[in-house]
Amino acid sequence: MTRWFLRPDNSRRTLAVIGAAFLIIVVTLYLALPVAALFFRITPDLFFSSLSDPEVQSALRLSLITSIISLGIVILVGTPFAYFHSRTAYPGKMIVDTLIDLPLVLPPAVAGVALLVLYGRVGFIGRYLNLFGITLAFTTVAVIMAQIFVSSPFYLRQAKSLFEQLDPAYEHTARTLGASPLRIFATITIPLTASGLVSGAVMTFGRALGEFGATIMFAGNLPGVTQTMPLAVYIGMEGNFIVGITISILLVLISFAIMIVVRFLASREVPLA
Amino acid sequence: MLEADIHKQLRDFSLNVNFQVKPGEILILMGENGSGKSTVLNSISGLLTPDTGSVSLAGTLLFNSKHAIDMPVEDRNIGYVLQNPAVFPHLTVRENIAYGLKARHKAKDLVDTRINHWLMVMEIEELAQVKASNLSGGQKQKVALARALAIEPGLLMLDEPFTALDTESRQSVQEAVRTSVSDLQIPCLVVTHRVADANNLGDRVYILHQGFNRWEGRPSDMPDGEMQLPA
Repeated sequence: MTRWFLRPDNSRRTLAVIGAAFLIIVVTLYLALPVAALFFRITPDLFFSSLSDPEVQSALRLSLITSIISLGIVILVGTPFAYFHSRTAYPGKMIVDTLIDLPLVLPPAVAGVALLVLYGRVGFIGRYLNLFGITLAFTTVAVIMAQIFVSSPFYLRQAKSLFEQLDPAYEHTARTLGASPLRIFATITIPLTASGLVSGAVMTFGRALGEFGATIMFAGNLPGVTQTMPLAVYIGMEGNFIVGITISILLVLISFAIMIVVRFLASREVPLA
Repeated sequence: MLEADIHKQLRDFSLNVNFQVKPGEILILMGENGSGKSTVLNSISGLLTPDTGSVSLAGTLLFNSKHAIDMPVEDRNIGYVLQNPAVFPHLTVRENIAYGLKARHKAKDLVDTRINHWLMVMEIEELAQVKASNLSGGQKQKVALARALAIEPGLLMLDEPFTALDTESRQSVQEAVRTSVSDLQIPCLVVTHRVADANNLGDRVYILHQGFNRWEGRPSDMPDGEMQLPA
């Protein structure tokens, strides 16, 4: 009698299962091990004590404040923009569509250089702002500008596609019921797309919080002014290693929280066309 | 009285219709898919703009190409239930029915009275506080009807309003539509592809074929050939 795993059909299936399991383990470990290593590199006592380090606190505060402001601006400007963009046909719409996506593929350092060339002290616009005593580069404002530049596509793309996909019957019905366009936007369009918009906003916040390349180019690395958490990690690695690890762990925890929120919101239904 | 004279170039043919509907009368619009039925309703509601023609309701011009009149959708006071009844899923049944009344800034007492009245007429009182996303297809159609009638429209238009209803609900809803149209003394336009609906509900049938009127008359006079419309 042939053993079961030596039978041709069984052995083939067994090989496939082993192959699949191997691939899943390799991919999972590749992604999880570096993150896990961070937690093993530091003791809980050391982690909690370095949380009170002024460098950590200042970077954390600056990162949270600038990311929240960036997100607020992206939502306030991006929501009506995405709505008009998705609902109207206008010349050059394709170009605007491409520009929205550009920061996703543009290396952040290049984005930073581009912002510097435009708004820097001798930049195309910056030199005129300078005449009025306005300096943008290497200030906290520059941090926010860099974050908005690289993170806005996450929100804009999401909002645009939600508005495009929402069944127009809801807005049409509201119009026939006598509601003004503004009322419809506030009471129908936004509530029906809210969970998707929030998940886009959370991704935007996460990207803004992790912004490094454009920030260091356009805003520099001034503690308390432009040194956000990712920049503090970089500096920590050259000096205070524990500070670098502590901030890294904080960023990992925030990223996890963001992914959990996004997954939860993504599971909720939107009445699409 | 609704008077519609609508001309619009569509992708495959041009739509040319001309009809009147008296107050309290129910006109059934029939025709195969893509014959222009929904375009007629959308043109009257203002969601689409005809190329030329005129639409007037109770003597008021809603649209007139010659005089460049095109009243905004929200000012036309038309109760319109689209093919997707589009019951707002994030609101309760009560809030859905109140939507048009609140948009018109009606007093709270009046809003409550109207809601209760239409909940009763549609026999959905027990659903008042239910979130609309939890309703069945038939219940949604009843809510959409109640919502359209609650604004006391000058015209009622229904696009395939009975598709999700079982036989019993279909009869009771048709009865409610008939009574409401008669009580409010408003013209009513109903798009359907079911001959039975035309017979039960319609005072007159208007059959569209590729954008023009192929037959018009009383449901009982409908020729056999017209009854075999593809759905």
